[in-house]
Amino acid sequence: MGNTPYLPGRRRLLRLAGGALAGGALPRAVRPVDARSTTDTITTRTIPASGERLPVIGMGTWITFNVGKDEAARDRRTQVLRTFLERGGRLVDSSPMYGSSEAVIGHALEQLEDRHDLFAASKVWTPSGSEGRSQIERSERLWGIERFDLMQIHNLVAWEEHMDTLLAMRESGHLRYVGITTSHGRRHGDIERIMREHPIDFVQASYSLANRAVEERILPLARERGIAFIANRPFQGGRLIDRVKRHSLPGWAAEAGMRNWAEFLLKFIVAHPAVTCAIPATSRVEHMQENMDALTGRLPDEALRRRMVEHVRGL
Amino acid sequence: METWLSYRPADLIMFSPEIYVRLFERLNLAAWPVQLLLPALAAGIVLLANSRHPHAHRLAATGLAAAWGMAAWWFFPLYAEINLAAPWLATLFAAQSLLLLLVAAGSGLRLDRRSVTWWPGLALLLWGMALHPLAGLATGRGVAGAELFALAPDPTAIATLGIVLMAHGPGRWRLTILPLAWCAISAATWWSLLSQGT
Repeated sequence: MGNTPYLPGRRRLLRLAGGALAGGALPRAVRPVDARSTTDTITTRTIPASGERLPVIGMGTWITFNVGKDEAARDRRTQVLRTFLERGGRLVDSSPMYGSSEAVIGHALEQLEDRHDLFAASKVWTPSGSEGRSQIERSERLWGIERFDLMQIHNLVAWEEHMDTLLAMRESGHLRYVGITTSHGRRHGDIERIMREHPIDFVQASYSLANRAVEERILPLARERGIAFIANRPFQGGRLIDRVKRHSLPGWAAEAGMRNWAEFLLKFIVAHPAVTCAIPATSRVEHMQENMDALTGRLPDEALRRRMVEHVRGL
Repeated sequence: METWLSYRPADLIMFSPEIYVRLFERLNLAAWPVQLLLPALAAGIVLLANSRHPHAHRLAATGLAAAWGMAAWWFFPLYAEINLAAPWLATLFAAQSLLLLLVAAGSGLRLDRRSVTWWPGLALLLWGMALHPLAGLATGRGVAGAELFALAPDPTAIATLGIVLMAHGPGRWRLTILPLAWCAISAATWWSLLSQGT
């Protein structure tokens, strides 16, 4: 591939565009959930590989959906997922590494009358390249879906072997997009190399107002190469939002249309032009409501983003 | 390996405090009415180990082996639902149970008031068998989620350390290795859970 930007083939573009239209991926008004959101239009970003549009707030499931067979906890996660989809969210991200999370997502999807426009994203996480396909099939069974929209190589585990499998599955139409992931700022050098040398559609890494390492090279490279970017750990595993919530939201943020700290932190992330989607995780409906507030209203400009950084640094 | 070493313990904990605490409520529901027998098992182990009869010492070790076996049987299948490492951790409990059965096949467990570690041992024994189940109440967890000796791993390991410290014989230290290992793992788990954000 060298340094030539990866451009998807015409056949693949047509297929992806078809899937995007079938999935209702174009911007639309949010379904009525509460008075606040009935007239708002959700913010979406384009997936460069296809032109499909994706709401900028997704949902992570690390820790929060790993509840085992605890029926009461499963019911509460179903409510969280229902709220996410009803407020206009699409991308749900998980992994076989997240314990029972995939089974709990599958249980929740089974309970929902309407899956809306779910964009199913999971990961392959096994040190054996030959087990990749069977692990993906197991994940499909757990979610109760026929195929994933996006399959990512989790933390680059055995990535060379899995890359061939995933690209072949994409070529055959069994996957729509292929991606790679990292977190906590690890292996950015390898991530960059793969972004340059392999025809991936998505890259996922940690990005938050307090951890902006990806702004240096990964995000510019994502733009240059036409790769969608998913921001994980937007609240730094909850520690960042716990820290800022001890303080009241500044007046200038409220004037800029931000209603709560979750919206503040998420809008900072998704206002970056190279970011396609942020995936906060929560186990509580009220927190999901706050997260989804970031899906509507105007995004901060560069000057406001700088002010947001300075403000949080001073807290 | 370098990548793994860069993780903090908190980064590797894959469940929330809420779900871990709920695990003990689910454990007590699943095991009911086994709980009714546990005070007799705990008292029996102590009384038999404190007896002068060699057969009683062997029965005491067998009873303690049963406690570890029960914890492995009841707790770890539930834990495996939320922790991918649980099957490996269950082998610690199975191994300690086997070790205690080997002790039972030998001279068994005999308490010795002349042991220099008698009093610390007694404190740990009381903590594991009586106070640990109540400790959850002090933190607002409720009686339904009480961690009980011979069902939950922490009080089982703590009480075992107590008995071994009160016991006679130079080889008894071998019986502390796996309980200490579990206590270290459990402490790291709780520390990581308590440092999680909301």
